[in-house]
Amino acid sequence: MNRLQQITKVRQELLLDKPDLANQVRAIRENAVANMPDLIQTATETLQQKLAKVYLAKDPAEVADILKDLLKGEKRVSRAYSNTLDEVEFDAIMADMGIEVSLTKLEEIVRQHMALPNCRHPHLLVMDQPRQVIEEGLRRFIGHPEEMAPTELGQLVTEQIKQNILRSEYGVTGADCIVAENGVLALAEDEGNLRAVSNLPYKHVAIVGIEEIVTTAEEAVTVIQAASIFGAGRISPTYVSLIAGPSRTADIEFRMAYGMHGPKEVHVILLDNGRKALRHKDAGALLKCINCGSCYEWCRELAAQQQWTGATMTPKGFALGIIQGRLRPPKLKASMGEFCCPVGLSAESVPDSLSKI
Amino acid sequence: MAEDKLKQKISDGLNDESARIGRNRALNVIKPSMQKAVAKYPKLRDRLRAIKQYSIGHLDELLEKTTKVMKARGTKVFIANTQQEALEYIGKIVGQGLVVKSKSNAGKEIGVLPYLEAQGAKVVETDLGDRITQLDGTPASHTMAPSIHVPIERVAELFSKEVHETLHPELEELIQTARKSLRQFLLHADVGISGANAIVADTGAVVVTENEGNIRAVSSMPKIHIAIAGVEKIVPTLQDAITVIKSAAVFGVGQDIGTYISILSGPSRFENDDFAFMGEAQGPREMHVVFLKAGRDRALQLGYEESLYCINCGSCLNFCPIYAAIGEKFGYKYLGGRGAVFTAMHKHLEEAQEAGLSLCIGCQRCVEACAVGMHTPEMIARLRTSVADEKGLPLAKKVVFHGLSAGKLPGWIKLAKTFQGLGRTGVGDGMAKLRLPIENIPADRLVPVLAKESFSEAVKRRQTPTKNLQKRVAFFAGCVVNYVRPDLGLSLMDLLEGQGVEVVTFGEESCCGIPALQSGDEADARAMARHNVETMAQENFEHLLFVCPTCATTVLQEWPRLLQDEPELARKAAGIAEKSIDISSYLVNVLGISAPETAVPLTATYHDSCHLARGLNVTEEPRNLLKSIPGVQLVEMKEADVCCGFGGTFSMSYYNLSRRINEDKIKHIEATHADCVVAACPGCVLHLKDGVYHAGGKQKVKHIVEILAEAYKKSGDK
Repeated sequence: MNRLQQITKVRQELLLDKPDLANQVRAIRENAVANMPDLIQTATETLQQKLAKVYLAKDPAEVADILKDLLKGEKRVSRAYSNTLDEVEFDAIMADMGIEVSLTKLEEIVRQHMALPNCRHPHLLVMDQPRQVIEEGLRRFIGHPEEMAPTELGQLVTEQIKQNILRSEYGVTGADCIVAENGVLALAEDEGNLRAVSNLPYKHVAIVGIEEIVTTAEEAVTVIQAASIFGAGRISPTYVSLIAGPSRTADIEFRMAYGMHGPKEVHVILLDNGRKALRHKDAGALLKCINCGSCYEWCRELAAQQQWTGATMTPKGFALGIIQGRLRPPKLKASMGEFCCPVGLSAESVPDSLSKI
Repeated sequence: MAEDKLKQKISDGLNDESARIGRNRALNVIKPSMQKAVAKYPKLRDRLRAIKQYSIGHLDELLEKTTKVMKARGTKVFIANTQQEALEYIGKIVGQGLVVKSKSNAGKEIGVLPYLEAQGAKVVETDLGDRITQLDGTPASHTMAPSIHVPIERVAELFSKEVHETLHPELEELIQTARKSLRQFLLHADVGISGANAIVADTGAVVVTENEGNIRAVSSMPKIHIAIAGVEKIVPTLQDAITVIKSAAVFGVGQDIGTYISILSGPSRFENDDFAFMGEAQGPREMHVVFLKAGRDRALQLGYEESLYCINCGSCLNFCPIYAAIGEKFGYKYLGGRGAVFTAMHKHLEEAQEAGLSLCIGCQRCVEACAVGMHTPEMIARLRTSVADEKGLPLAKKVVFHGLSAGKLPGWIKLAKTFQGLGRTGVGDGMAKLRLPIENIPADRLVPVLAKESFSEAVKRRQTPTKNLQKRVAFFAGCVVNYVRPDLGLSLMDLLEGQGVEVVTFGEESCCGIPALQSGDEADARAMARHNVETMAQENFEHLLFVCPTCATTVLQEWPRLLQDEPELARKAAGIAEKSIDISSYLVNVLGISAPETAVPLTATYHDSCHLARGLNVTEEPRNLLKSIPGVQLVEMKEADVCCGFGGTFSMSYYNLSRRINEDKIKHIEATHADCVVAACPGCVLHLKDGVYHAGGKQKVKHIVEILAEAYKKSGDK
């Protein structure tokens, strides 16, 4: 059974215990899209109250301007993987500035070093690759061409990544959700590299789409758990980190100081890049999508049909691709089966909404 | 023995000035923040209580589920039935390695740090406050701000020694140094040990919250992470855990949420199984959860499950007058009254007494402050009953309470009155100083002068008007009114008769029973309740009035409970409780008394008695009555609803503590520049007189009935 088949099987088992989950998540995401302007306003205020710096970026060019200002003079940044960082072509912006980018997610490292094709799955970056390919990619990463025992390889790779992070003044991530009520970033993962990137360096930059803003922390963990069950076949991610601004302590004479163990500065770039425009069209429903990957196979077929390349294969990925002018609007074709969705999108509603953009 | 140790702890606590200064500094910031934050989230407490009630009610089932899910996700689970088992499990993993540790009540509970150090491991605290106290060698002075008593110069000294550099006492420099120094330990540590704020059964997660980021580091940098947690931390879902975390922030320190929340569901793993061969990535290779069961089982068996709802937020401590006075000397491992209950469950009643089981003054501010609304004073009262059952009462108390229940008080009073002139010197205003100290009562403490004529004797002599009386109420005087302040009872009768209300009294009543109850003597308290109920049942009245809210709450809340096994009496007690009401509420809400015409020129400040404000929820009516009197200017004092320190027999058993609490109250009174402090409890009035006298103050101390009687005297008939 391949990975995607495994995910489908486990998803069904897990959902038996949680018959209400999809309804809850759909309601949360519907509210998030419906109230987006208010949520952006509230989140900006609460993030700032928690002492994060907040920037609003209309498009990747504005993101580049913000980063040029912020990261001037830096030699290296470390980053985790995020669809949003892909969307703004973060690595290209860094290359322009002459800043080295250290990858920290193992799949991405292997994909880069072995020049593997980008299967455009929202979080499975390497699929169905033989073990030798993976091992070789990792050996190239640490610059060790000869074969070695896998656990030894593992330890050296892990150590190298950690050193890269420790040498970076800035750690860059996306976020799964922003919690408007409390000014909190919510980040989910399995490896632990997101925690390292957002805790070890002195400064943390998060680039987040404005559709990710929900109201409460409870909503955020509900969405994150649903993404894990629907899209990864797991009851929850291994690590979920909620971050409210910079690290702080008042342990010395009750005087507040920042950057005790975690970052001293947190910068949040809220990205529009067509989301507000999508909302105004009848295609706003597509912004409910949480990029879980549950419908990946259906999306892959749709992309093949439409001859779409270069977009993350999710309803939201396609919607953003079209509004940003990277994908042609869809030509209606025959429908291709069903898929399981935590936010109430369907094989019927998605092509319909996409055609309205 | 336990009592001697306790007295020593009280003394040490009262004398530790630097801890007190540090404590006050933290409390002065935390308390207003907490009150603001709690007001913003009105539904939070009920929601949390419901979650905890469910979780503790299904603990075995949830523990089983948690274990199953955790193991399936690669976490190693160890359920420790005893403290020793937990220590041995952890000790075997650590060996003599380097351990980095974050704050953990469970860890402190089992004594994990000294145990590991004894076997040759090096344990480094990573929370800055804990690290400072570790290097300094002094104990933490507050749960949330452990090193607040260490001045910055000393911090500079400590870290200078640590990193072999000369550091200046500058905040930024010290923070950066501490960060670098602790990061080195984190990078080289073999094991990270944390606690847990909550455990999620659904996903097998350990949930931790913090502001510094050290728990994130401790649980991600070393290859092995051990989380220690009591089984009572388990809740069903992720959303439930978020509620626990938010409550800890809101109630504990007045933050809406902590800076970091980490939800950890296993060792580092790859979403993509193709990478599984590698082992772990940027996270621990092994994750262990050590569950503590010791003491929790007992709490469930003995019916103290509510004590397991506690989320260790420390909110109760922020409002406890005993903690304010003696700090971490109140409690054992877990601080405060909740700590005494915990100790009773984990150890024996002897240790619970040492922890301060008898120190709870019953003011109930902790119940108000608690994130789950735990009825800690009630649990303490039950435990005191257990102590009394097991060990009996001290002889003096036995004699007194038995005498009270056997109706001997009037006889003793007569005797005391005969000789009281010999033993004391009057200082005016109905108070006197003893010529010699008696037992726990120091000679300079003011004691009340016994009235020449008891209240019931005065009533017998009194002419009761019979016309123009449309209503009929009864009045339970209580011991203070009966033998020390009969004038209050007489003033009440004058006041009510002037309003057309007939007042019946009960002659030589028994004490309401609260002193016996507070000391754990249920049998004598029951006898007193029985006698009073039988006496009262012979009269008809619409309401039963009190000028002592302590008596009122006892009648309302304790008499029905004490008599529940005697159905006929229980029914009568319930009927009496239903009619019971304090004088202010009666005047305002039942009688609808109109404002008086006579002016009483007075600047007054009002002290909220614990039993009136929190026992009966009455705060506005006394203030409204005072404000309605022409000439009265009412000035609010700070912390008007903090206990005055009397606590009835408490002020006799622990006078030095009682006095310290009183001193704080007197300072707030002085700050208002009022010439009079008014209270609606005769006990508070006595204690405040003692306090004002010793502060050299000039403020008058009056019971509200005295002022009302003056204001309504000439207003006369309605």
